[in-house]
Amino acid sequence: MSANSKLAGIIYIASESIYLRIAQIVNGNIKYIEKIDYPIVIGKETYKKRKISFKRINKACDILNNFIKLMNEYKIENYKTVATTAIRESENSEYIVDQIKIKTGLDLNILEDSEEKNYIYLDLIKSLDAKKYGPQDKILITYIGSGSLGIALYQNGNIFFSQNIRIGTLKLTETLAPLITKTPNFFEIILEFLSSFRKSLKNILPAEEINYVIACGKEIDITRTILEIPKKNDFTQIDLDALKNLFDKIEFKNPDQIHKMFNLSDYEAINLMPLFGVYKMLFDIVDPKKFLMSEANLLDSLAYEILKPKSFKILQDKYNESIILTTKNLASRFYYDEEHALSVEKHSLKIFDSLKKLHGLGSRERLLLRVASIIHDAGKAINIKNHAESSYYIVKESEILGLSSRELNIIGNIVRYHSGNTPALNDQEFLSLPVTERVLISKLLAILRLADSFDRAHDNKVKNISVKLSKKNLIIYVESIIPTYLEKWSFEVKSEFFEEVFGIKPDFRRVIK
Amino acid sequence: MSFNLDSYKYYLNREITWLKFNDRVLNEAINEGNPLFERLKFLSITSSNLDEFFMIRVAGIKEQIEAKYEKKDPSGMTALEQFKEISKYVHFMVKKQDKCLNKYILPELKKRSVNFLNVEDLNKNQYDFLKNYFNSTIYPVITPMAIDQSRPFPLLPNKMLTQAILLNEDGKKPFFAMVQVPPVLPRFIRLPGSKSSFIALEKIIKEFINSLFIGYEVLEVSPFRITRNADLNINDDAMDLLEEIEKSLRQRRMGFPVRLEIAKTAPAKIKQMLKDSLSLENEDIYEIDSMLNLADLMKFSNQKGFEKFKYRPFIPQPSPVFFGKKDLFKIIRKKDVLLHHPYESFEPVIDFLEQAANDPDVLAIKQTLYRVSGDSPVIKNLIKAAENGKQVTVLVELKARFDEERNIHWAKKLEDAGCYVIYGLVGLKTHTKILLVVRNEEDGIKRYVHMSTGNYNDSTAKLYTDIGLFTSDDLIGQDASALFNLLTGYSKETNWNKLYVAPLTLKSSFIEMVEKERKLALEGKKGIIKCVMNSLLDKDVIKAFYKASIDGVQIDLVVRGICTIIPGIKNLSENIRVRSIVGRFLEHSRIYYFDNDGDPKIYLSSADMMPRNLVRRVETMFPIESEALKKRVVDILNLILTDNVKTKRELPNGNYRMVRSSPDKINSQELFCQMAIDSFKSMINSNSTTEKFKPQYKIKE
Repeated sequence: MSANSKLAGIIYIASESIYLRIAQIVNGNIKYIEKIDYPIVIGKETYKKRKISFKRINKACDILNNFIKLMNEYKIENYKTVATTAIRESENSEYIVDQIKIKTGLDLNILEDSEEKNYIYLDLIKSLDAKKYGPQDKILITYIGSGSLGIALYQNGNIFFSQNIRIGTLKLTETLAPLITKTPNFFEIILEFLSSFRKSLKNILPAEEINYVIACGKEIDITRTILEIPKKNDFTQIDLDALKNLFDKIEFKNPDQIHKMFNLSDYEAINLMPLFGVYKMLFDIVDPKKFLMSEANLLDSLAYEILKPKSFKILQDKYNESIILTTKNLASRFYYDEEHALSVEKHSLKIFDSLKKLHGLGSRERLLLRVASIIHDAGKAINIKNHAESSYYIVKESEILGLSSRELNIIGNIVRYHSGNTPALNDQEFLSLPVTERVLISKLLAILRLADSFDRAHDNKVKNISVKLSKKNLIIYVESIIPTYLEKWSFEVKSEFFEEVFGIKPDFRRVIK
Repeated sequence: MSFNLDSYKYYLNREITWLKFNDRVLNEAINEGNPLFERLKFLSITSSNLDEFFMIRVAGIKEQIEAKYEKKDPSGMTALEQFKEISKYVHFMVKKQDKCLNKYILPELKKRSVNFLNVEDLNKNQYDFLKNYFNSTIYPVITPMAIDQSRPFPLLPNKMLTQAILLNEDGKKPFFAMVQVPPVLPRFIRLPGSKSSFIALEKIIKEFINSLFIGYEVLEVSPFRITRNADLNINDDAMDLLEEIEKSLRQRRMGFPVRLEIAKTAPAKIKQMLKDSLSLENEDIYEIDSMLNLADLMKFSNQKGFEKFKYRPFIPQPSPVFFGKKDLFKIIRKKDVLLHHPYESFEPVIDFLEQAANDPDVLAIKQTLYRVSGDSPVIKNLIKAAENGKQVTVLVELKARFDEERNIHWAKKLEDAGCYVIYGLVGLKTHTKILLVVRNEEDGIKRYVHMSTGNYNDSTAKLYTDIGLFTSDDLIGQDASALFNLLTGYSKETNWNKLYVAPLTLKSSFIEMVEKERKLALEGKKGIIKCVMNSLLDKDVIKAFYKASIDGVQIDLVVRGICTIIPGIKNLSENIRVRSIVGRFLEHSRIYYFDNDGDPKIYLSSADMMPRNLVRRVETMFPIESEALKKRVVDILNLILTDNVKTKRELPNGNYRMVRSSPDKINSQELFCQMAIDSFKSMINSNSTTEKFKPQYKIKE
């Protein structure tokens, strides 16, 4: 019998378990047929020795091989194997990936913190939609990862603001570890350390309008354990007073005492203080009426992604919309020229959509182009002379919602080369990228540069363009009632790169309309 | 009033209660209401039961004595005290067996011209026949073994009927020899000239034994038989369970002797020689006045003919739900189906497996096997499924007592066919009976599950009463998968939806259910518990029953065998009634009923309430949920509880008595047979009414 395309397998190597899910779509919803949580402590080694022993990896491979057997029973061909912190933070992660490949044949995908966050946000938005908050309700979403803290604002079906701070639970402990033995009140040190973030967040967040805080991410699970709250389907409401009481309880305690106090594993105990520190910081900023823990998780989201039920496309589009919204929000914090950005976005997409045959790219690349179009001039707020370079830094340092670091790098390179020089052969940083990435960047860059030229004067002179591609010619009709000498000149300069990339020279034809 | 529920006086000794069960079986052999050959069977069962009892239980107690294990059992007996009690009881039972055969059954058979003869009774023709039989058939398969200075006492196999011989050689000291009565030959030889005259094999050997010892004078010949410790000593740290069990099976043949049975007529010299050579005590020696190894009577009474001395044959009836239907999946998809064996046939289970093995949509079949029959259709279908490319996972429990060798054989065969075979779990016996079929249907993966109180054994399914359930319930399906994931080591822990699994959740949940009834009773509601099981031994469970009884829960227990609870103790167990049924079929179902204030919770299980089931075995307890099936199980339960023919009730002193007989004799097993016949008949009749109106389209020319 042929492979079963209706089924998906997801394997997730986490800190204290390896998970297997075998999922199928029933009436448009994801349903699990097999659910195995195999306990094996991996994170502890990563945390204590910075490396995972091969003995442990061999044991993990035994478990994985059993999972493969079970997937074979269902004749599954669509599957994905992922890992997060436990492997990511281990110094020998590359060898681990290699060993797992050799011993099990599985290609292990180590997710970045931001990718993990995206998957979880995606799942969270899905369940938030079902919850039907009013259009006025502003919700602060926080993803608490081991390596980063994501803050996002959700309203009326979309995330419109997102901010990433590199203070994950594990990272916090690591950073402050030397102080654990020096202070009787480590929790206080954490809070002090977080206070600078608290102040800057308070400046950007409309704190008084926010009523709900929803936390998500694997690291928050211990909260439920300590408060002895059973797991619910989508959201678990946490008694804020009970939680705040615990903050007082862990003052003047060291991780070892906490480990005993709450009967936690080492790894959980070590993460509890930074986690509570983050909670306390957030409550100091927002003072929410309700605090909810989201059960949104990586596994559900991955299953959703692989199986792509009908609702997935809708959710994906919606999430893309959130990506655009947050990009705009980010750009506005750099006082960007919104009209210019809109014009470049519009023209870029027009060219992109008209030249599918020429570039052969898909919807994800289109999204990257869109984001690049919006953010490309943001660097001007820092430095007008070398603004493209500044835009590049903004993109790289801001960690835009929904985009992986690979994608951010692509967008960064597009904005970096959008105005002056194009990537040259002596540009070491660019050359170090894989060839496929370089080609992708160049293609999107060529399009963006053309689109940018139509609004050279930032006066929105060009209302519309249309693109006509024949075998020999590529003509772009530019609609404007005002003369476009500057734009045509700019176009001529920027089309050189376009010709270099696509081998066809576009013609600028003004249409008076 | 408060009771110290740890007090010895509230518990019976398990060994004695087991012996009492065996005594109830023996009473069926004495019972004139049973056909004669069936009585022989009951007698034979008491004998093979005792064999196992000595090989495992008595051997264990002897080991405890040897190890100076001082701890008392819940009834307050030390190992030595238990041993003495057992020996006393079994000596009494052996006398009763002798009497049963010599005084009751054989004379009755003789009246009906079925004769067990001695050599002296034979005519010339018959004698010549035997002589010829000895020379041509027996002689080639026997080997005499002499015992003297150069030849030590031979290693005699467990349970082997043997002739001890005292020989005389001119001018020398008399010496001993042995001849095994070959188990490959029938124990009872039919004599010519009569269809119903038999002679026992050992008597023929004795008669012609001279020809084995030419040059010697045969002074004495006496049959005897030894029983050895046969409890496998399995190293729990064993890396390879298969290898470890094969090793210990070899050791079983050499287990230390625990019992000597010898003909009462044997001369003292022989008795003394055997006693010394085997280092046995007087308590270990049982003198038999009838026939050794009565277990051989089973084969004898199963022989063809003699139908008038047997039960009227009962053919397990087709299940009205499945009869004539090809697609079992379709039926099970619609509703749960219950089979009550042996009244209803086991065939649908085989059919289900067969359909699964050949169905292109079936992805995987997973099954536990504890005891399977000789030429098992279950195994055949599993092999077929593997050949058809299904993923077949089979847990063959290698540690199934006395079936180890057979199971090793099957396990290897399944493995050769490409099945994924697990040889049980280290430290745990997998006793649960569960079958899972995973099917890829149009609307997704669907699981079909069969669970039963009895084994996947088509032979015993004709003799044991069991209840099996087919279901396609999603949550039970998930649990079944989770269970197999645990058994295969794919997973390590899991949360259960509807199944209760030993050694994880079964015992604690069961006790909670008892507790819940107790709370209901305390609230002034009716607390009612009804249980049918094979054995009741677990002290925690018994305590829970006692507590529930104190607080007014009405508890009706039908326990076939071991049962250490004491009913009818004032203020303590007055609300507990214990019954036991020994009938034509072996009572094997486990039914657990909790009234739950009028909204009954009903469970079936592979587990008895014994520590070994609840702690050292993988067992399941599963709910019956469909209203129709719940009603059916309640009906079954109530009929069992009203049986007044084959039921004995336990008295506060631990003895069993007839239940007070009412004018209506209710033999539950017979009634279940009749009900199965009736319900199949009525199904056929209701179908044939439509047949009658079937229009005839074509007229034959």
